Amino acid sequence: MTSRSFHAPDGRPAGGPPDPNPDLDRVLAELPPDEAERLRDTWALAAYAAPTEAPRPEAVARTEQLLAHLSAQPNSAWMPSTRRDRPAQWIAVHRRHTAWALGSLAAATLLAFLWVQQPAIVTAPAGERVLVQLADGSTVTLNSGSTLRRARLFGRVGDARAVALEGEAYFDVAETDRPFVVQTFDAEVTVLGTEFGVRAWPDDPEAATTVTLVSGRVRLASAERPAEAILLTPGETGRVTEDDSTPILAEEEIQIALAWREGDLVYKDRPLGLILNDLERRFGLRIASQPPTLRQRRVSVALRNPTSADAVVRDLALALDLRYRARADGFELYATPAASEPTD
Amino acid sequence: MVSGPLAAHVRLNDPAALTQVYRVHQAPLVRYAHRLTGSIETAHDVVQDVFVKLWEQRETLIVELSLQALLYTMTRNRALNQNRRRTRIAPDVEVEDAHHQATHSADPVAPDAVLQARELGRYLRRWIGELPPRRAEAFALSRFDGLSHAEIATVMGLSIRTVDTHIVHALRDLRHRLDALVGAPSRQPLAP
Repeated sequence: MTSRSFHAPDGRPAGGPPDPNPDLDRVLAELPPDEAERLRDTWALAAYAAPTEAPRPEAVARTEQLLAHLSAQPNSAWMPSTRRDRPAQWIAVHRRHTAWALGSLAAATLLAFLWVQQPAIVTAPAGERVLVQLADGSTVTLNSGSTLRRARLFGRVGDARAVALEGEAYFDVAETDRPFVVQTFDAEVTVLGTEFGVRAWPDDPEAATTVTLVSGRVRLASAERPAEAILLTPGETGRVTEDDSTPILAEEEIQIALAWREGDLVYKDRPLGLILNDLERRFGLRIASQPPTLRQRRVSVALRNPTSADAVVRDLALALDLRYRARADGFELYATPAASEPTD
Repeated sequence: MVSGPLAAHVRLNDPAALTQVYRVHQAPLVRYAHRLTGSIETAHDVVQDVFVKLWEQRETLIVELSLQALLYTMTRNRALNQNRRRTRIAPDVEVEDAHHQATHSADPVAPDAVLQARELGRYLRRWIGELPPRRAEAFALSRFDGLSHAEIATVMGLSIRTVDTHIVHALRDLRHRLDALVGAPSRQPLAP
C-alpha cells in the first residue's frame, strides 16, 4: 500500500461513510487488479477531504419552525382562495355547515367556531391610505380602495397568521415564531418577520401579484401551484407569472414599487390602463378612454403626491399627446386628431 | 441514511417523520446547495423550500428510487433555478476555496515529507475542486454523501455508465496527483 503513512493513528481515515460501496466494487472489478487497488486506496484517502462546514443553527431552527407550522395547519379554512367567485363560494360553505348543524351538537359547535373564524374586513376608502394594526403587532398600510381580510381571532388563537389582500398594501410583519401568510387572487406570500409591499389588483391589465421585499425574507408562490415558490431577498421584486407557474424575479426598482406610500404615483413602462385604475381608486372617479385600446399604451410617469385628479389627467394627456374632457363621473381621455391624422 | 419506511411516513402525513427526514438530510443538502449556488444564504433557503415542497406534495409524491435521490434532485433543480433566476454565475466555491488554499498553503512538499492528515485533506479538496465541475459533483455525491451511482445518475440526469466513468476518472486524477505530490509513481512505502 502506497498510502499507509497517510492514515490516521487508528489506521482508518477519518470522515466519510465507511459503508461498503457496491458501485465502487463493481467499477473497480473491471480494471486491472493493480490499478483497482491503487484507486481503492485513493478512495479511502479522499475521506480526508470530507467537507466539515456545518449549517447555520438559526437557519435550521427557522426551517424546523416552518415545517412544524405547515404540518400542524395545512390549510386556513376561512380564506377564500379562488379568484372571482368569492360570494358564491361563501354561501356554499355556509349551507353545507348549516346542514350538518341540524344533525348534531358537535356540528353546531363547529358552526360557532367557523363564525368566529369569519374574516374581519377593512377597506381603504378612495383617496385614503389606512393603517391597520393587527393583534400580533404587525401593521399593514392599505392603499386606496384596497381590502384586507383577516380571521376574527387573528393572532390570538392557532398557529396561523393569515390575511387575504385584494389591492395594494405595505406589510411590516412582527417577528414571531409563527409564519405570516398573505393570500391574493393568484398568489401566496409566506414570511417570518419582514417588511414588504404587495400589489394584487385582479382587474389590472396584465394582472399579476407583485411583491417587493424591503427587509427579511419571503416566499412567493402562485395560488395554482403553491409548491413552486421563489425566495426573495431584500431589494428584490417577485411577480406571479400569467401562466400560473413559478413566480419570476421582476426588474423593478423598490422606490418605484413603493412610491404610493408617500402618496406619489410613479410608473416605469406600465400600461396606461393600470395607471388609470390607480387614479380611479385614488380619486374615487371614473376615467374612460377612447378608443379603449389606449389603455394598452405603455407609459412612464412620475407624479409627486398629486392632490387633484384634474392636474394628473392633464399631465398624462400632455405626456401622451392625448386630449381629455370632464364628464359627470370623472374624465375621458381621447386621441387627438393630430395624433391620428397628421393633416389636422 | 433514510430509505423506504420514512418516505412512506412522509406520505402518511406524519409531521414527526418530516422533521426527522429534515434533521437527517439538511446538513449534506445545504452543503450541496451551497456548492451549486455559491451562497450559504441561498443554500439554506433552497433546502427549506425543498422540505416545504416535500410536505405540500406528500399526497402525490412518488418516491421512485429513494427519498434521498428525490431530495438531492429537488435541491439540485431549485439551486440551479435560483442561479438562473438571478442571472448571475455563482462563484464556484470549490475553486475559490482551492485558490485560497493554494495561495495560503505551504510550499510544495518535499517527496520524503510526512503528510499530515489535515494537509492531505487540503490538497485533496483543492484537487477535487479542480476536476471538471460535473465530475467533482458526482464524486462528492458518491464519496461524501454516500449516494449510489444509480442515485447520482437520477439526480444529475446522467446514465449510470457516465457516473461510473466520472468516479473512475476522478479517482485516477487524484491518484495521479498524489503520486506526483510524493514524488513517484512508486510502489514502495512513502514514509515511516
